[in-house]
Amino acid sequence: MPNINHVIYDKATGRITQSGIADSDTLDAIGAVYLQVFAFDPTLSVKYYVQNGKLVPRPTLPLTVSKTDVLADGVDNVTLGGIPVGSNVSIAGPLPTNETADGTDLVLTFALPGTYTVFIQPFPYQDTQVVLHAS
Amino acid sequence: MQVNLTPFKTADDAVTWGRDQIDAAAGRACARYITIAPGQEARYTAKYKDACNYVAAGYPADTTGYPWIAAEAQHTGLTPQAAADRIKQLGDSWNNQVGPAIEGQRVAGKDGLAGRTDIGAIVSYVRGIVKALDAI
Repeated sequence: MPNINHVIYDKATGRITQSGIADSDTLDAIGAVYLQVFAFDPTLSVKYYVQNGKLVPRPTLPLTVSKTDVLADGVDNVTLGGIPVGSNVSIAGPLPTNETADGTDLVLTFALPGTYTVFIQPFPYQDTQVVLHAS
Repeated sequence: MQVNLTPFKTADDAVTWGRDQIDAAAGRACARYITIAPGQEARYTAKYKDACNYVAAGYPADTTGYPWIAAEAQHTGLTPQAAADRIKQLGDSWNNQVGPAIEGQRVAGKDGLAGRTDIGAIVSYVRGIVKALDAI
């Protein structure tokens, strides 16, 4: 069989895990859950996922941010709203950490000044990030 | 959910950090007014004493008994009186106003850490004291 452009995805969630070019016999033989696409694009997983056998755009997360400048005094805080439960939240900066969102607003305080980048992975929403400045 | 990004595992850790921050801020404040160098404190003390004695003696023309005044006047081109007045003025300011203000703020700031148990409140408190010292 001729090679096809395809994406391999998680059957339960539709999350694209791999993009490539291969023949369908090989893909079937290895039990891959895949969808043929028009062109090879390794970045498809960033903006699309698979739903009902079709590529569907990943929606933009309706994230709300109370402010991006905050005092590094352990009391002043930034509130991030709209993060779905189960989303992975990783924070890079002087005090890095990883959290799993519980579906409520995320309230952050900072004890050390610096620039903090909050990376949010709220599948099926697109990944997003917010840069905060604590001083 | 609240996430407090802090390097402190316990309130005691935060208090220890706070004491260091306050001491460091007091040190920076001092450095804005006096030179911090080996032997400088001894030099300040000696020349301030000389200046006070010289002024009290009515600015005698013979500066033999006032080596610090004589040397500073010789090297700066100031008159002995001007040199002595300057030394005394700066010394008085440090001894009577700036130094006590810094030390009072430093000691009170550290005293105020006692009994605090909330890390966020400790950090906020210390930032306030450091800000006050930075403003001196």
